[in-house]
Amino acid sequence: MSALLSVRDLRVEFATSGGVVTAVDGASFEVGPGETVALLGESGSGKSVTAQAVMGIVPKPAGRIAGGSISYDDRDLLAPGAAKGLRGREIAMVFQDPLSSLNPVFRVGAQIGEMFRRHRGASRKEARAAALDLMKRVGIPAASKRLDDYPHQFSGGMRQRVMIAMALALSPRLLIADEPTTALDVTVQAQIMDLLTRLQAEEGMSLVLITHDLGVVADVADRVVLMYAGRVVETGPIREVYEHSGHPYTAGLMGSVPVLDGSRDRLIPIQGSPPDLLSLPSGCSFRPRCRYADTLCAEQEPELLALPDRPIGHRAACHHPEGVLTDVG
Amino acid sequence: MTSTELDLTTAAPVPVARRRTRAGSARIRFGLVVIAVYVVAAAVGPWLVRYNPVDTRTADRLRPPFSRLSDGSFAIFGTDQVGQDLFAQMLQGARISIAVGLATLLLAGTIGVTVGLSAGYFGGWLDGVLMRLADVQLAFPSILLAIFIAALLGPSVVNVVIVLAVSNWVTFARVARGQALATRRREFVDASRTLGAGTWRLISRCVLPACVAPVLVVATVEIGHVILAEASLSFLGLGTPASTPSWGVTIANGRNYLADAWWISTIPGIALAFLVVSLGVLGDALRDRYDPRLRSL
Amino acid sequence: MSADTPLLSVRDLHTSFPLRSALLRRPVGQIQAVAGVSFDIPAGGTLGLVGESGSGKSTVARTIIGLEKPRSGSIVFDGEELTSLPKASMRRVRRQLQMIFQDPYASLNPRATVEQIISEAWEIHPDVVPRSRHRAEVRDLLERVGLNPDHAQRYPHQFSGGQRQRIGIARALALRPKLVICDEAVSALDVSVQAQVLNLLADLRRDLGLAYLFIAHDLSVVRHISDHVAVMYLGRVVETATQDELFQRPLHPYTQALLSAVPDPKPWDKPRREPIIIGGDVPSPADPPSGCRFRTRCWKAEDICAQEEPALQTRLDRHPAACHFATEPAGAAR
Repeated sequence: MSALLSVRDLRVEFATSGGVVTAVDGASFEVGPGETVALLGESGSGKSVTAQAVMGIVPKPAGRIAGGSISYDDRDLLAPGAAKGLRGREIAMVFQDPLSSLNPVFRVGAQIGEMFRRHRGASRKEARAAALDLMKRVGIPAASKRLDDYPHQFSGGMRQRVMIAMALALSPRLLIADEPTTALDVTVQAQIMDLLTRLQAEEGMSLVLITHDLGVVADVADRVVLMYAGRVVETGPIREVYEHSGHPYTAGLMGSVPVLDGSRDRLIPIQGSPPDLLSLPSGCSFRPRCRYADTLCAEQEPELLALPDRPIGHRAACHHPEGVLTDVG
Repeated sequence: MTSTELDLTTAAPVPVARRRTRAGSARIRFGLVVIAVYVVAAAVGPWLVRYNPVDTRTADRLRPPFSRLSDGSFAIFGTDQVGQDLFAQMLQGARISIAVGLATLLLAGTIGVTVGLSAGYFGGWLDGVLMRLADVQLAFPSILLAIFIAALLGPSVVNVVIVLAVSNWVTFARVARGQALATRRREFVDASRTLGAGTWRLISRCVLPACVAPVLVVATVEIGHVILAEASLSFLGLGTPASTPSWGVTIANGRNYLADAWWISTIPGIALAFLVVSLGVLGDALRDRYDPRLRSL
Repeated sequence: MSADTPLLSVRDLHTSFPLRSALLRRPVGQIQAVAGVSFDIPAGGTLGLVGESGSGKSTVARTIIGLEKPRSGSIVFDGEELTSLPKASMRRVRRQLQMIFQDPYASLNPRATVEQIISEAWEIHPDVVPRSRHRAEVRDLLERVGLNPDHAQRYPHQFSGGQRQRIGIARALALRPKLVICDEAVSALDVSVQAQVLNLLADLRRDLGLAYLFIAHDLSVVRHISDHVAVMYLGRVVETATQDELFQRPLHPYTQALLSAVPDPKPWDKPRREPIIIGGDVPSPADPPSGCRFRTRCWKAEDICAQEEPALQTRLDRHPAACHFATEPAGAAR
């Protein structure tokens, strides 16, 4: 199966007053057609910047893509002007905070309809009808009345549905959702995740879910890509990675999350603090927090490699994965 | 002791701070040096270089800079229309201008910050009343006020300070009010409240420190305006009496001689401009410095 | 005070905020943020207060600690009625009742050193720790929360989010309180750091005999740290039980929906739980539904739900739930 989206050795740098920060440092992963991939990481992991790079919206002039390649459908997305034709049409994005992503001074129907007017040359009437259709599809009740409402008149969950409607307007083949439910209540989160999976099945599109929440994607994703300090530290089928983690970070995360029906024993947190991108340790960036670290880890940055006795698709960037695998069991 | 996972690393953004302070301290040093020169000149100068306002030496009228006078002394900036050494005059004027500037700032700042903090912190009708007062003040032309006071009480240094303070407190009030509004709802203020802090402590520990940086910037910009304003008022005859040679008076006196004896107006003017610009640069740099984000060293 | 009287006892608490019209700022209504909340916390116990946005849980916390004034109801702490206490006496009570705030970035004074932040408590209450001992006590507290005592002269911005939260915990402990309210104390932290802080809170409870009122929206976290749990919806408590009971046998439909919505990081090899997706949004607290407030989103709603507000009383001989049609969930273990 040839990949729809292929990211290779992506490097994104930001110029800050403290120096150059490498937000993404050699990330590689793929998304196949119709697949759901979870891009998982905490603060400083580089997951959002990666999505921005794919969409071509890395903030300039501070940020720049310093290396690597992104190809969509075998087309180079980093070539000048390449993203333009695809953004919004074939690749769409949904953001975390719909209140700041929707234009507050335009009615919602007009904003959704604009997609059709700009990209398909639809008339105002046609665009309005199409917008109404979409709003019904994403489950906004009394859609015909709400077409002319402004974003602030919607609740958080409804606004997110509007964003999804806008993203879906031109039937994209790839939808990137950047923390789509983080700002929402848990019951609304369930609604939105349900909506996304249903729409994905209907449209047959690929879905990239960016989040820090392990649980939100467990049921929904096919594969997971875990990022830490700008690098991919583990990737593979989601159940495989969760149950047989090959990287100490993943194992640490699994051990530190309280589970609703698990034991109430003392949690086993990961030592130390999230990485400071301005002063990363030499070798493996996870080293200061890792209990398997040794001198090799300080000298050499580990590569993303297949794990012994595990399925081929499961790879981790660690010098001592055997230790982690045996401990996790 | 609890067996917790000790978290001994701190993420100290040392590179950021160091770089900023290097550039910032250059500006501070520049500003401070310039101002120090002026202040020293103002404080010490008039003792070293005698100036008598009543002394007229018609023989040495309108002498250009770098000329030697009849009594053998060297007039570095030339002489004015009554034969006075311009340099001596300027030193005296520096003393007046800077003293007026500082006094005005202190008075305006105290009034303004008190009003602004009260309005911002307590809100409600107090805020309404005080801010309307401020609006009235802003709408009132300061020149008119100056004329009024000069006419009523006669021109004097104290009256100038009062007029300028009354005309300029509003900027301080606005800034202080903005900071009070922004700070009073922040969680750390609530945190102090839960510890049992009373209103006085909350204002002085939480809100007031937030005002220091912006008020300082406003102050250093305002002092430039105030010094200019005093010069303007004196220029118009509404400020310091004609006998006290503030820069404004000196510049005014040289008005009629711009064609032949340009130095009488121009040189004090340049000195004034240079001081005001340096104050502005210092103000920017001090604001950067006083933000504790950069005090990590 | 006997060993049986609870440390904190809240009865029928009501807190409202006035709604002002945009133009003239005249009051046009009331937001009933807390509409009749009652619960008890024993000394050394932990009550988890759970709810989504608009539930009023934070307002309950702020009312108990004195940051908001209640409209009616009673708060009895350590035998004293707080609602009618004069200001001076409230200051004394503060020593026993403290709070940890949600936002590690906003809850510390950016212009004060860590030492100043913590010792402020003793400046307000000089009889707890004399000035000569401030420095030493600060070092002690920093060590206790897992921070390097040599960093006492640093400023908050030099610490990470998790470390700042520890500073906030140290500050809350400075007056040696008996009850600490944790208002979403771990919600703003990264997962890996959250676990550290949760462990710290559990250790402190064990070492210092603290009671907690733990407010959160994350059910997994609440379950982990609480003995008892109360679920809030739109200003009211809809169900309360021991954590065991609540998570095994939720009786109220809202609790059942809430539990089914919690994402599970290990969903495989378990009986596929039936997802309950409730539609609609939380109604406005300024205009709540009549009778049972949850009825607009409840699949069991009948006429009686609009007419009569269900009381929070023991149902099915199990634990209190405010529902006319409380039922045990399908397949609940016996």
